[in-house]
Amino acid sequence: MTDATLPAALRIAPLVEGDVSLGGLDDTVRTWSEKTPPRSWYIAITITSLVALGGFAAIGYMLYTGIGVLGNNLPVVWGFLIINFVFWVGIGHAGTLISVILYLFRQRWRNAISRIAEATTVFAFMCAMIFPAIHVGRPWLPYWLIPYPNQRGMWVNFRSPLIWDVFAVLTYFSVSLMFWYLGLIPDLATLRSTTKSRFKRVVFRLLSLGWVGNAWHWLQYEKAYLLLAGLTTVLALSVHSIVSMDFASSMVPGWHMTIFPPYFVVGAAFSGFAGVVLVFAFVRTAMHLEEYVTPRHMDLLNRMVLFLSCVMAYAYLMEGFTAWYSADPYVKYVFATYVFGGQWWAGWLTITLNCILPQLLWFPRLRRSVPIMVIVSAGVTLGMWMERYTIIVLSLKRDYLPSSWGGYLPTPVDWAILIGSVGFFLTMLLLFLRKLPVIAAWEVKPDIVYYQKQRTEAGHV
Amino acid sequence: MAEPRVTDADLQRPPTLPVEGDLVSRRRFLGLVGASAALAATAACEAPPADTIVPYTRKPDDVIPGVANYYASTYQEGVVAYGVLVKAREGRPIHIDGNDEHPVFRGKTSIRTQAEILGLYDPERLREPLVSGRSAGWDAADARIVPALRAAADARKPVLLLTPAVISPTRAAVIAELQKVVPGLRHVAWEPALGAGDQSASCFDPAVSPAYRFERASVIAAFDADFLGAMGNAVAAIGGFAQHRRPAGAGDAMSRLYAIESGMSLTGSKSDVRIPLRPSGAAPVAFAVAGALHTRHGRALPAGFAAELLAPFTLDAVASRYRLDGRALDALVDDLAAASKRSLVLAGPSLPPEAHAAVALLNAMLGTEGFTVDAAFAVDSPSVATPADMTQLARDLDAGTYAAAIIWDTNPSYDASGGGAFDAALARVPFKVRLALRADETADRCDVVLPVNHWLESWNDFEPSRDLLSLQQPLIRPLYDTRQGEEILLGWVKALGGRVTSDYRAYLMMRWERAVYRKGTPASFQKFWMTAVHDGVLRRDAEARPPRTVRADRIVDAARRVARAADPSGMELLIAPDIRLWDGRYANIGWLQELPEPVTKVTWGNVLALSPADAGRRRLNDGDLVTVTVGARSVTLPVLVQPGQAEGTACTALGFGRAGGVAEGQGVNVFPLVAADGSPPFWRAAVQLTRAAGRRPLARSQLEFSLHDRDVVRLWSLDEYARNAGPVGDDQPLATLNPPQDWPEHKWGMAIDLSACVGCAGCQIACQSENNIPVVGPEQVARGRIMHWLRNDVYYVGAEDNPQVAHEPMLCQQCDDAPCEPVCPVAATVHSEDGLNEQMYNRCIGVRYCAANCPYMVRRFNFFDYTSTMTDPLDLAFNPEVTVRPRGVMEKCTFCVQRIRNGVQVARDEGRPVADGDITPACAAACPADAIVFGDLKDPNSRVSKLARSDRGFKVLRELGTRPAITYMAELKNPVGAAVERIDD
Amino acid sequence: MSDRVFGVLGLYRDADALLAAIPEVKASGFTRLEAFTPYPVHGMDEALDLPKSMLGVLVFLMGALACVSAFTFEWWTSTVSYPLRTAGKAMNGWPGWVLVMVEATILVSTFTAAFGMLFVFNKLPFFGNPMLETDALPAFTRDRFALVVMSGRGRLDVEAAKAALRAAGGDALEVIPEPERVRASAGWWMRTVVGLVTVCFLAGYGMDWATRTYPTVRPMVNMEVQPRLDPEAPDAFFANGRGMQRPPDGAVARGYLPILAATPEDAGKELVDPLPVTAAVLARGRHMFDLHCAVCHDRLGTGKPWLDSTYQAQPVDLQSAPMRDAADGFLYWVISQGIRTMPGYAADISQDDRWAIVRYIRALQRSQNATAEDVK
Repeated sequence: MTDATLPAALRIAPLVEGDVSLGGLDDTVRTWSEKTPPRSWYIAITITSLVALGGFAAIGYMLYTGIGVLGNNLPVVWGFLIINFVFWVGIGHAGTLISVILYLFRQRWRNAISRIAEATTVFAFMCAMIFPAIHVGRPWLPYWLIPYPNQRGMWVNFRSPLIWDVFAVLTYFSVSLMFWYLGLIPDLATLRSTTKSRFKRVVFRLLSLGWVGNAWHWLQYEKAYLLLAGLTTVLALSVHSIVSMDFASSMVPGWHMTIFPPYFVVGAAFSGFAGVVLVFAFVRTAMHLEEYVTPRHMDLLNRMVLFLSCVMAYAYLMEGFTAWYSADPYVKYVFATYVFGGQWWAGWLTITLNCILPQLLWFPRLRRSVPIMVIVSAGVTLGMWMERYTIIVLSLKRDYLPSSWGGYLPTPVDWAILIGSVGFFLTMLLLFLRKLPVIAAWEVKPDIVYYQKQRTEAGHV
Repeated sequence: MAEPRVTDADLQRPPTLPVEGDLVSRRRFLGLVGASAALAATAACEAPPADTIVPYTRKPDDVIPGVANYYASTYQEGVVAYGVLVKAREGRPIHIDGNDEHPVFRGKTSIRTQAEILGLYDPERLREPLVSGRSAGWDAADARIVPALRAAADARKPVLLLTPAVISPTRAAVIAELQKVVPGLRHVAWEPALGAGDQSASCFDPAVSPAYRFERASVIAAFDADFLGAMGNAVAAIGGFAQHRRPAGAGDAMSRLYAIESGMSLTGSKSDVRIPLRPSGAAPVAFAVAGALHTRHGRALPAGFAAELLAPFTLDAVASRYRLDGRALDALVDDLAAASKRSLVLAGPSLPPEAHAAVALLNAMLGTEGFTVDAAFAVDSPSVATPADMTQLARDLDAGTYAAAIIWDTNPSYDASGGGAFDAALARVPFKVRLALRADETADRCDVVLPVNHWLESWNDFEPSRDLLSLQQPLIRPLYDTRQGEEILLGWVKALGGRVTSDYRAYLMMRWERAVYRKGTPASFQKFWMTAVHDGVLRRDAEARPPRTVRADRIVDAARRVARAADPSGMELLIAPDIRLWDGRYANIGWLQELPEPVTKVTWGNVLALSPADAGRRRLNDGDLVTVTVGARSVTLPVLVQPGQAEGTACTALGFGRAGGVAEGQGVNVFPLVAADGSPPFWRAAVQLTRAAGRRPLARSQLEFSLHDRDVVRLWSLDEYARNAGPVGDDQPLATLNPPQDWPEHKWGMAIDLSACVGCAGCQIACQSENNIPVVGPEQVARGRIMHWLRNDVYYVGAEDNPQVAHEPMLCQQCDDAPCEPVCPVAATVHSEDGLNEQMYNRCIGVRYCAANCPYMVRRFNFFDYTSTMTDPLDLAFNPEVTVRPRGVMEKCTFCVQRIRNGVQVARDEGRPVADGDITPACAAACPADAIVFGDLKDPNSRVSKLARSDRGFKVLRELGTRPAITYMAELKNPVGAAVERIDD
Repeated sequence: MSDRVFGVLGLYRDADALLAAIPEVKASGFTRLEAFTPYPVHGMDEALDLPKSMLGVLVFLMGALACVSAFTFEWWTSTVSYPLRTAGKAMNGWPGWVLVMVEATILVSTFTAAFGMLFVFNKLPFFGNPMLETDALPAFTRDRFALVVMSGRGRLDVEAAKAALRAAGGDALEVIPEPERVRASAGWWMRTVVGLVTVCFLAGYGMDWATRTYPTVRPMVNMEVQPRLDPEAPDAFFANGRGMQRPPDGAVARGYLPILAATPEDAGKELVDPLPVTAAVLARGRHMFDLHCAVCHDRLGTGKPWLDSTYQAQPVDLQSAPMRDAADGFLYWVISQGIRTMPGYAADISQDDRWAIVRYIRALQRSQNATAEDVK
């Protein structure tokens, strides 16, 4: 429907398809929390939760025996656990960036996907926050990282990036959790007033805090939403910068890089968007959300992935250039090992999956083909994990004194914990999809009205 | 009579005992090697016991709880008697250093002696006599033995007494006593590590082993002689050698060391000129040098040695024959000629006798006798059996004439070469008695096994030289129901009707009063004895021997044999005692098993060292298994590709492959390869190497040996020194954002002279013993989790067929601007007011960020619970002044903070300032080369401050701005061409 | 169910209809209007002339407060309360504190925004809202738009309001009754308070019991118990169960050469005072003398014990002629080995201190028998 008689809004593919109505949207959203899910859902959650349990079993074994059961050693004192932490924090950035930054830029297309994106943020952070707690040598003491008054009169060391980390990560998690819940309130109110089951009605009644959506409330609500959006943007940018400072402010060759903060933020957004694409590639068709999450949405998401991939490529280049231009033999050597060292494949995997593979998305047809976008974003997710592996392990292996150079070999426990965290993430996601409104109905409804209006004006009803 | 365990009538059992004893005791010994995961599990969820205080009921005059005592004693290893000073806490030895009163050891001792602390507390020690495998009392044991001996005595049948070398006059006397009552007693002394004994001595008359005075040598030529490593008295050698390796400033000369050797030994790694040469070439080359000395420098040949004998050996001939660097050989000749009596030529015990003869010739020509080679007060060499003698002995035993065999300490079932021939023969002996510390290979074959005291539980005396007596006194009463070997023998003598006391201490004192104490001296014998025990040594005036005369006839024969010898071909194998396990007697000491071999850095096992060329030709890599076949015997060893190894040679070490305990399955026993047929025992020609299936990954503490052009260690030739003198650019202060730091009282610092350091690893064991550093076992070492706070890095510089080697002790640099400090989230590592980088174990939660951020990678982490699962009584070896770190805690060198605080407090109590030298960390105290100096950098006149200003001082990784408190001094090499230090008489 | 009216509700098809209706209803005299919509409808605030939201101001204030307090806290801990040398950095190295300040600011301001909106301005959660009971609730949270004419204090002309709403195009008109206020009964308060108190007590005692029963649980013995053997600690390994052992007979520790003289007289001949002649030595001697000797020998060594008559022994008078003539070694020997009823002090007083005591006794004797020369 691209003939010239149409109003501008309809000439490009609209953000909702088919003749959808406000009520129709509510019904779509509601059905998922009402009707019993398909068998496939049960199979999926069984698998994921078993994987998650495996992961937690491995963690239990590790806590009991000592972190010697991991591959960590000297000089490679940080291994999979820290990699996974950075990885999940990265994934966790999609939600905020999509629902917040795009909101500030008034990108209406983010409305349909923001809810699930925020959910991924929350769950990814749940995974991420496991790792700093369990990776310490005496895992019964990490609460010492929090500056609480104690009779020993001791405080934490505010110079340590790990303390910055504690503050950043905890803040980010609580804020994004709250942001997510805030967005849910009006939709929960809708569910409350439409659901059949009494139990659900009670629960939703409590969760929706008695929201009735009168004008004054909406006014405050939007104001708060705007403020949160602004603040959370700063937060999102600061958090991964701070995570990057764990490395950047150390003096390990390969870590000590001024480019790290922006480069980590972009990386986070990159892996985050890839993660969201991955989720929607399945959710969209599996949950019949085609009308609200249109090919155009996927197209736009993929454009973001493509854009960020190019920025990453630039970041890699600049990092390499810095290393070379610094004329610092130690750093130069480490960067050489990234791509020519014993584990050259790590470096090349990073570059291929993050910079080369996404170039496919230049072609509009590929941008809209589900298999391609799945391959690309899965590749990016893996690639970003490999990037963290390269930075953390390969740098530590080759630091200043050749006499202390070593190797790194992950153990089954390492793998179990990594895979288990993925299982945990998917389990949480599946539960969410099953029980809560997956689309921010109150945000999409105006769009529906808008497009309906356009249509009626254009006489296409 | 038995020495009861604790004989204090006034000590009653305290009313209640906490469960702590049970908590740590009765654990599998594995706890020591740290595979303690399962054990930690068994220890889980036990509430800690209530503390109980158990004071002395009557306090001994000389023990103050919490304050250490020091006892002088002596430890015998082979034919060396190490004078030691043992640190004891509350009547319990915990640390061993050298005896500072001892003229030879000057407060230093060997790594193996230090580690003997763990030997004392070894849980695998025998705790009571065994009669035919079952535990029994002493009476039961004597009831078996005494009649057997009596029967043998009556029947005039021979009885074998196999002991280590006897260098103790009183022990000899005791054996003589036994001989009186058992006429058929045949005493054989067996020291497997000594091989064919000191063969160079046999080329002189009288055939006594001299002391080598390295402190007088300006040119040293060592033919496969690892005098800084496993050969002879390395402690004294290092001390003397190091004196001429530390020029005070640019322009000063130093001694020059030529190492002509097959394997890369410690000595070779310190040498100025290293000439890789197969062992069979040693004799020809030495003769050629002698010839050149004669022809070019007109050195006289000894009477009876005709010049034409040297005709076949010309420098050019040997140089081309063995593909040697001719210029180096010329230089060697000239240097020797110039230094004459100030030179010293040595041949390693592994070399064939011809080489020793040639070297004896050189020493004779250079007139070193009486100067660098000092036999003035040498004792008559104790008779020690060679492997050939052991074969003969086996034949005798096999004849079945022997009524009984008494095997004391030595372990022939393990170390007698000849592939089990000795065992088979031993089986023919009707009655066998074993006196031993542990139930070992030999004990398994004996009818009666008697547990003997550890030397730290024993009395004895030794005569290292005729002007010196060295006393051994016990530090602690026997831990178990054991007796001292001499006492057991005396017991038998008494039982067989001899008129002696069976109290060895009384016997010892009696003999001293008779033989040593001179009547009419003002002091009473009591006082004389007490003083001797107190000092640990007794100097006596004995009249010097006349210089030895060289026995030309032997050298002539040797020269003839060598001249007839065929051209070298095939692989040659050189076997030597291991610097850690010696002949295997230390196999059960975890510290030594886990100590990285000083050059190869291999722990927990021995290897077959091959040259890169040979390995490349055979496509062998580190860890590949190779079967070494000599004649009928063969063993399978993992390969180590060793830079600097002479082509066509292979080297391996004795002492591994012991059975039982910690040693089980660690390394391979190569004694089967030792020649038992009169030919040189440790040198095997025509060796077959065949690749065996599989690999054995080596547990090495260092994996990368190349410097990658990084300025982390400085290896200078003397003229480079002259050029770079003055800490190069290091005097410019680095830019920093930090405010200047102030040190109110002290600023502790260290200076390490890499030129004096020979990399002997003495500091490592001292540190381990002082700081309760756990042993983690080969698996953990291979995983990169070794715990040594102080490691000795090795770097190869130059071509891999004959590289130069740099040793660098690496420990916490106590940086002023320590990178580890700001990154710790809980402030568990911070800086003290006196410049120490402190680690607070209790605050540490183990995020390991500090370790990641330490550019020196000297921090160590407890990945598992390595300590609390330790078996009783190993925990007694812990230093009570140092925290025992549990699982999950970061640790590192603290400059022995416990010693620093102690020194400061003592000074304060005595109301005086801390004097320079009051405080010495364990590593500095142990360093035989005095290469490590510790002190207060705030005092400009302290030794360390002066050294820190040295013109060859440098800081490792200075450019990072960490401002270390340790100054290293460049290692210097004295290559051909530079001046050689001149040493006055 | 009271007869008081909360308001009258009318539903509208879409937002535009609602916006159009508002002025009409106003025109017919009803000023207290409330609109309920499924999504925020723009222009509603002008239509209903709602006041501006003060949320922004609140957020700014709280954020600023958080920022300042974070800085103060970091400054106080790292320079006043817990100053530690790390890497030679200045104690008040503020650059390291900035990030924590940023995070704290954001944390506080975001929560202010959210909770301020919900609790402060919107007065949520509130489940007593009569709108929750209306039949139209599903509609206006879904796809319809509701306009409610509110009653001022329950008084409202219902019919007129209905007419006005209908006239403005509203349908499904509905009268919303005023809910009567429900007060919490005293019994409810009682039950709540008692319940809370009980829970606290149980929790407290439970925790106390737990910590008593399991003071620390492995692997969490944080170096409270160490496998090393400390002074005066028992050790089951030794037969006598003691960690501290007696050195073997005859062993001589460095610096502890036993006195070999059999009698004090010999000692007098053999032993010589090794100490230097310094005031410090005398002071030390005085200290040790007053500590160990004075109780029997008296401060001045006159041998008059401070103890009462039940103490039978006659301590020697150190001022007596024989004692003054006795050699140093004699006194030293006696102090060490003891004599007659006097026990030996070798175990309790170190060798140097014993000599210091001898030195001090000499000083005492001199002081008590001073001659004219001494004063000169």
